[in-house]
Amino acid sequence: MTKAEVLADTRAVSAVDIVVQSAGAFSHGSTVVVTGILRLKGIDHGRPYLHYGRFLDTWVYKEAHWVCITSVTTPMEKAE
Amino acid sequence: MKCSDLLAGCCRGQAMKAAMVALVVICGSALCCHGQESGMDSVSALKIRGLEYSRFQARVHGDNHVLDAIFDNALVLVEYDGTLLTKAAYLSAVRTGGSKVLEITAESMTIQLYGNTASVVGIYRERGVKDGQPYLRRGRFIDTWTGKNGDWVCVASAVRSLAR
Repeated sequence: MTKAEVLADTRAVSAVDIVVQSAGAFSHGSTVVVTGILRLKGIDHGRPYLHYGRFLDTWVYKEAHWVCITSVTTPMEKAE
Repeated sequence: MKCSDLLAGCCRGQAMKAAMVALVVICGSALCCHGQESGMDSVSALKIRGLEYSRFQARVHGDNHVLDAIFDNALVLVEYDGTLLTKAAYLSAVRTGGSKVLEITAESMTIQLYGNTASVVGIYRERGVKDGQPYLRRGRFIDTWTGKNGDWVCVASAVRSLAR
């Protein structure tokens, strides 16, 4: 997904509860890698769901701001 | 596609549909600069592309010496099932793991440079044998590289399954 697609998806999503259950950051100068586990809870077509995923985001420091350049979430069977 | 669908791959019957959607977000203004790489950036992109191919080959041949040089000591690696591995754990798995990777090919690979950092997004196909059974896996990979001491090292790598 591109940035535009992510923003459009965010607008379209109904109530979703996202909890970061754990996270760790690894700094490499002006680049930081963040990984952790997400718990995502919501209702889809009237049915409740609960999913877990491992996320891995990369941030770079650019023009006095931290910006996220990549983000991926890999589904997990259950939280560790 | 809703956010909820993106995580549904392991939990519902729509697994394949969900897995086909790459949860890859490329933010920031770098997209605007696509195709406007400087000469130095082109050299870096070529080098990183070569390192990615070297990594695939090293994995196939179980060459931990090459993998050790490619991966930063603080590597964070997410497997296709969400398992988080350190560099040591990954190299150990390559050395003693129960699966034999026979072939890895890259269907696509896009490299974006952000100064001393690069992101690589692509699709790979892996063929191997695990627990005596052949397998074929296809997935999206997202790697992050940083320049350290004159070389590029991979500091983060994650994959997500896609439909074959």
